Amino acid sequence: MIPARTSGTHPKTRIVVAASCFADASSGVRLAALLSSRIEADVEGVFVEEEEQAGLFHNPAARLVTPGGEQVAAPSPEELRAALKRDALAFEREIARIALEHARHWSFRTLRGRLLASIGELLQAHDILLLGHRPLLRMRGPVIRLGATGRPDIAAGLAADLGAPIVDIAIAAPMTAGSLAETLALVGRTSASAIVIDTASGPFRTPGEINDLLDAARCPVILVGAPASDGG
Amino acid sequence: MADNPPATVGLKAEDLRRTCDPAAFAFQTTRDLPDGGQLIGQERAIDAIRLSARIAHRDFNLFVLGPPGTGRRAAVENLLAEQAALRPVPPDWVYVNNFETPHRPRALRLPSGTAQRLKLAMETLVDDLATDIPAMFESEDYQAQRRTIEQEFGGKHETAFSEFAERAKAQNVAIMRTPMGFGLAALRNGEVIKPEVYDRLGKEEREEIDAKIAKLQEELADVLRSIPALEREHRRRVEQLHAEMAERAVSVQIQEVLDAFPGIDAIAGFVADVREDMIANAELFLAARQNAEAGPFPEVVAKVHKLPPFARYAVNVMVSHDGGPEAGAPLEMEALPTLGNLTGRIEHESQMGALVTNFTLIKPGALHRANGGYLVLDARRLLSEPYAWDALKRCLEQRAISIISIAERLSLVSTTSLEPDPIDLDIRVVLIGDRLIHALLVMFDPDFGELFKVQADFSEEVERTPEAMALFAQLIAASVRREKLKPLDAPAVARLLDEAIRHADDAERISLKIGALDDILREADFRAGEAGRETVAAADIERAVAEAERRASRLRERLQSMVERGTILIDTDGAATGQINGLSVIDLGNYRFGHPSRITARVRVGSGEVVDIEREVELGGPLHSKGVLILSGYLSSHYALDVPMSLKASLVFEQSYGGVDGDSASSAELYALLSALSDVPLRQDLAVTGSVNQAGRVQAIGGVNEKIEGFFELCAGRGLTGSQGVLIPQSNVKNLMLRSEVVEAVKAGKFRVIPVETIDQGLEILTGKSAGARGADGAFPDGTVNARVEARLHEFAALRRKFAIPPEMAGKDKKK
Repeated sequence: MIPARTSGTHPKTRIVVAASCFADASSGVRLAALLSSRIEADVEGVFVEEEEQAGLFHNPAARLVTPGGEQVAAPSPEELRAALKRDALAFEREIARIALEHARHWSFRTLRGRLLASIGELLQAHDILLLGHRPLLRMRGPVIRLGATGRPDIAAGLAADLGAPIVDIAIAAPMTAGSLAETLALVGRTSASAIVIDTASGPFRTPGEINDLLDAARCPVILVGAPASDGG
Repeated sequence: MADNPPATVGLKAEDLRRTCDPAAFAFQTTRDLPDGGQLIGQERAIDAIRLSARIAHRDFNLFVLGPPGTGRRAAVENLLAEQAALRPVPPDWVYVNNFETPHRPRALRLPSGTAQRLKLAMETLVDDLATDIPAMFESEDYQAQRRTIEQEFGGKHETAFSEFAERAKAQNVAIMRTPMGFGLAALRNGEVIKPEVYDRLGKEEREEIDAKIAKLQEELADVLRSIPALEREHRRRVEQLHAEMAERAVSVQIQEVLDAFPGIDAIAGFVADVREDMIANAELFLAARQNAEAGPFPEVVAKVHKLPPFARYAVNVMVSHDGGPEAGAPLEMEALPTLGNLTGRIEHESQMGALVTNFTLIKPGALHRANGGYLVLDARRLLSEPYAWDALKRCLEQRAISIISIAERLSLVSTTSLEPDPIDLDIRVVLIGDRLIHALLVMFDPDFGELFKVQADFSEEVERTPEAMALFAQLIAASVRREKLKPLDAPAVARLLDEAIRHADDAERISLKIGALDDILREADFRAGEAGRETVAAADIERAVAEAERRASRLRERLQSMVERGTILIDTDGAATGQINGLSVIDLGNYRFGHPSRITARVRVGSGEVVDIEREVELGGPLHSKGVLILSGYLSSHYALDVPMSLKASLVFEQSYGGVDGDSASSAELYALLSALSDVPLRQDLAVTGSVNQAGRVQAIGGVNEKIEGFFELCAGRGLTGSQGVLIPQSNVKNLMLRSEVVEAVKAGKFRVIPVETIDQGLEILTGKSAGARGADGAFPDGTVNARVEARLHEFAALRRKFAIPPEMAGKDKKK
């Protein structure tokens, strides 16, 4: 059995799966499993209890819609905490499972804060970040390669494993606000299995840009290279 | 006493054994003989077989009856084979999958020679499609169409969600993913409004926020609720695309199959079903492609049709006639006619501990193989197999083969099973059995007569004529050739014929139990080989017969020894009153021999009863009892007619412990009884056989040769005196075919075989006194045996009367 590695002891490539709920995490874990079969890397799970999410249901104006389209009352803070705890536990188990399947070291941690801001500090240059997103459709869309990626084999390998085509979306340089919005709109209207971007070369580098991409894409986003800080 | 009996006359030696004269044969050895038929004297049976074989009407099935060894099976096979060759080749039958109701496989009737071709064509079809269909789905054409569909449906959903997201963003509402779903919250300055900020807002503003969030909540719910319907529609479109792609691949190949079998509606219908199913289940072929890639052979040569998922397209051949039109109709023999072997069976396979089956596990039975032709079965074996006879009758009645397992019928197992379509049955069934089975079936099975309208009754013997003897020689020659034995010279054939006549138990008939003669032939061939001869001689036949008898004669020799040592008391000289030598036959199945028994009679006054001691102790069979009762009838109708029969007599087979049946000793018993009544001794150097009727006539019996030989052997062992002999019924003279040593003894005047017609004749020979016939005065002449019998009976009657009337009553009678 491969034990969980204590953090910070090895400079080896990691596949970091980050999510703020298990529904998002499970889609990321699934892709992490595919990547693990191709890349010699440790696997790390990061569950982020988002502050906004925690505060959401204190707000009397907040509303909730289930994935099945049912309108339900907002949960109490206690119910939300319990749900987050359950999700974190399930996420950890899944990480452990795929790591064992592929004989990889694994680790897991829970953070509090904003998703991208929280994990930004953890990432190293050779890490691959998988931002999970709850799949809304079961149909298998393409893998989008957004701009040039430092590791082109990742997108190709994923597409092959998923049996999905690859769609390349070129990005004009330099990126303007208009072209960024156009790109996000295009991504938003595409039902993709995953999006692969290289934060070193692509336009989506800051946590805010990446968050916008994740919101628009509504599918897992794989980042090769650590995102930059919002300031830089 | 009258002592003027007629002179005792025995039969001449030539009457005792009428042997065949080798000079009557016009050949040197059987090699000179042409190949004759394998049967003689069976014209009636042969006509019956031919009728059953040729008549087209239903239910003219055949029962061949007769004893084993008469050549009935070979005759049936030869005659049916001749007729089968003239009949048309029947159709092929296959079982195929019923795609709508798989537990009821469909039976297809196909032109002869088609079934195996169809099976191969379907296997090739599956193997080809296992390559073509994946190739079709990997084609750029498919990929492009599939992408179009994905984009169309993905785009529909994503557009709807994107538009919603844009509206939400425009209204400053955030969409957040939470463990329970999507949360909607109002934003201010890009941040979710905190509760305390919200509370500080004015009422109108709060209501405005609540309203827009409520509206957006409705819209989001609509978008999310539309997903399942969208996915259903997407799935249908993909399935439709798959069907179109599969149809393109399948249709081309299916057409090739159809072109290979033009004008066969059954195949056209089946192939249409296959086409539909293949199109609907094209993923089977895609999965097979993945398996084939993992297999040891390249996918292009993989035998995909052998994979379990493709069994649904297999053709299970029940019967196939690939011999061409000259092959004729089938002729099948089923040596083990169990239910499964007759009607076929449905086998099961174990999968994960459960028994499962499908139409490919249906196995044909003899009825399938013989359909359109002839099926020969052994009746005894058929009837001894559980449910086999019942199933055969059902199939013949319904003219269809239905497969039902015993376990299913008895509800012994509960597992998945099949109800295959019945297969049309056009068959002629031939049962071979003995007469007892035939009689039992006629009596106790009302269906039998309806289903088996023809009987071929094989005779055990044929009349001894020159023609029959010549045919018999040809029969021997054919048997020699068939068995690859050494040829027989003419004397050997004559000697074998003598044996056949002896087997018939009749000097005027020849036994047709060829099986027994074949055994002699084979042993004689062996003896001739031992002697270094290339031709079997009469001596070889003689030795084979003698050796076979010696092997079987342990019991006979033991009994003989017991008599010689005085353990069993049999006199062969002198005279004794109320005592006579009877003769019986002990039958061991394949060997029988005669043996003398002492019969004694004792008499006294009584009420007219003759006690059969054998019957009293249940050692006597019904026929023996009948014979003894006839004696009572004879006595009461011949003697002392004017007084009540006042006799009590007892009769017994001395030292008999194994039971007695048959009436062949009834004349001997009567002689002993009359001797006891008349007090006239009977000669003990004579033995007697023959039954008697109430009129005193001696009647024919069976086994006369063995009986004479049995007494002869005893006398010969003690030394032949010349006075010894056997009394036999006159009507048995024609049955005599005695062993040569007996004939030689008679010829030398050392032994006699004396035929008698009446009891009086026998009485005179046994007593040496006149029996006596009633004169005009109604009385027997004084001193004759009959007169003494009558006097004794009158004496008994008087004694009985005396005891019946008390003295005082007798006095009253006198006063009157």
